[in-house]
Amino acid sequence: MTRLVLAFIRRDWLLFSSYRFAFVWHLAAVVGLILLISLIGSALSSGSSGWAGARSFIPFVLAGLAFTDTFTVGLTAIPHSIRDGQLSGTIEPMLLTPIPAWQWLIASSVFRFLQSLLRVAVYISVAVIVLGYWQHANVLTALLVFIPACLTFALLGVLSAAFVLMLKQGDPILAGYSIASGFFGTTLFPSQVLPAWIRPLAALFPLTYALSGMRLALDGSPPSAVLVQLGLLWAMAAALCPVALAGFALALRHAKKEGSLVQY
Amino acid sequence: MTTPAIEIRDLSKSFRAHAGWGQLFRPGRQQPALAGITMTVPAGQIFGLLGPNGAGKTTLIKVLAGLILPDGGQASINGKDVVSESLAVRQSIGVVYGDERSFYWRLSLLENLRFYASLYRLPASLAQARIADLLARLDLQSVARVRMHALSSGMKQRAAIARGLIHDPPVLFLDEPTRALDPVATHELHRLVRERVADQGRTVLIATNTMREAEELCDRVTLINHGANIFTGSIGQLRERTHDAIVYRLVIGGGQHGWPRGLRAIAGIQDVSVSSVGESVRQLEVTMAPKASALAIMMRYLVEQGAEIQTCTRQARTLDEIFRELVQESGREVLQVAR
Repeated sequence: MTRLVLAFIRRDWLLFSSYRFAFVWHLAAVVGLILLISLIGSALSSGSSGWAGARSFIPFVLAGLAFTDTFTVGLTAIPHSIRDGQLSGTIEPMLLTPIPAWQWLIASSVFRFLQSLLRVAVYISVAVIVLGYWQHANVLTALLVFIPACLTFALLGVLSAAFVLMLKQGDPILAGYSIASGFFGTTLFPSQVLPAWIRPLAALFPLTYALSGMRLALDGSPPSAVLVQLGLLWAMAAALCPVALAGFALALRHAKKEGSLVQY
Repeated sequence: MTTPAIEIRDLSKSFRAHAGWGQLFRPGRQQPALAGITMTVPAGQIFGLLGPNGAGKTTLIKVLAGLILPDGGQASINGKDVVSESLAVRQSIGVVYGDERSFYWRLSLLENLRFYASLYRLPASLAQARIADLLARLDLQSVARVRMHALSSGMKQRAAIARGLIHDPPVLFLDEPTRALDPVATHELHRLVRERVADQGRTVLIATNTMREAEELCDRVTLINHGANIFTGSIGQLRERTHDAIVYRLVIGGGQHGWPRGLRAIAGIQDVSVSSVGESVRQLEVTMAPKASALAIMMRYLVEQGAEIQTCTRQARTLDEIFRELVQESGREVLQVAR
């Protein structure tokens, strides 16, 4: 499995770096965002802005942006790999190899996920080193939240991939996620500021717990402070696991029945 | 008794015809793609799967490769069922499409081959040796480090064969491999398939819609149309299917103009066509029933009419003509095949 994952990472790196302008632009975008956040963060933190909430708002947004990026990639990596395979025609040769579908799904999504992890690492490094935030972050708590959160989003991604295999376009999981994360994802603002009637919907959305858990971890909370988030994220992962795997197996079977694997 | 490389029994597959928005309320009509195909391919043969466009050739190959699930019947590769033992089957087959998609165009040929070698879990040293061998065998060494998008169609097709052979499968499927190639590249590919692919006892199943390709490459062929076999046998057996007419071409000088009518009156002559090929020189194409004694009568008649017979040749029916005829005939009846 390790060799397989490494082969996919190598392939994706070669493809990614072959688009030279996009590669440079990607790096520039990360650096640009960091500079922007640093400047705004420094300006607001200095106290000259006169905004009392500035000290807590910037790390709130920074954590929200960084981890929403990673969790979103966790969700989209698998369906995007499949879509790329449909469009490029490479999905059939892949399915002709003696690799079980689950191994192919995992291996083909690793590079995208590593890219997003790198971005998170850069954001957090800047926040800690340059802006002085999260000096007492609890790494253990962060890991404990991060793992079930990634698992939950990856399973949603498998379900999303099932729709991509069947429908090609118009995947309801991704569409639903985009709408939900925009309205009540708590990336840019806490759920307390939402209208009362929306808050129950936010409570059903895994991003809410993933982000609140990560923020608590970055603020230095011990694992005992994120038990609710952990419990809910693991419960969601456990509920999604059979649905996602069965859904994908059904979708693959459907595509093979219909002969529509390479259709796009 | 040795296990055949490919064994297919009564294989059937239908696809739903898509009917736009109406499909939301009423399922589309089922269109059969394979209608009870039965055939056996012994190990070590180059076997042709012949048929016109839409006959079901690609569907059959995709079913054998596990990319499409059949509705009924059974198929096995080297004794392994293509549905229930799909992973084992995939290890023992290579598939080459005529389609140029399916490679990573921004990667070099070498990078593509390395990637697929790792999907077949080849150890690095073996993969390296295998790739070097295939590049040499298929005359691709000089372009190994060139990106796929820069390769010609012929090279891409050879690259596809190299990928299909990367894990050294005992069975190779070639689906219209020369579809996008010019005559020179086609000839070269045929040579490579004959001399360097179908060696070491490998079984090759080649789907094609050109008789010439089948004639150049195949030990045996099966002809399919509308998803059903209409002939299975050697090219020689296919040629022998001349229960139909014989054509004689004659070049004649002088004589009178009333020949065609007179010739048509001779028992056994089915058709006569005349064309002018020079001043008072005509070419006649005379179609007559086989085993008829019309030839001698026709010659005597022409001499009596004062014709100067310059040449008379029996026209061999091309395989393409036989192919067209069988395909047309298959619309009326399914032939009993010679196995």
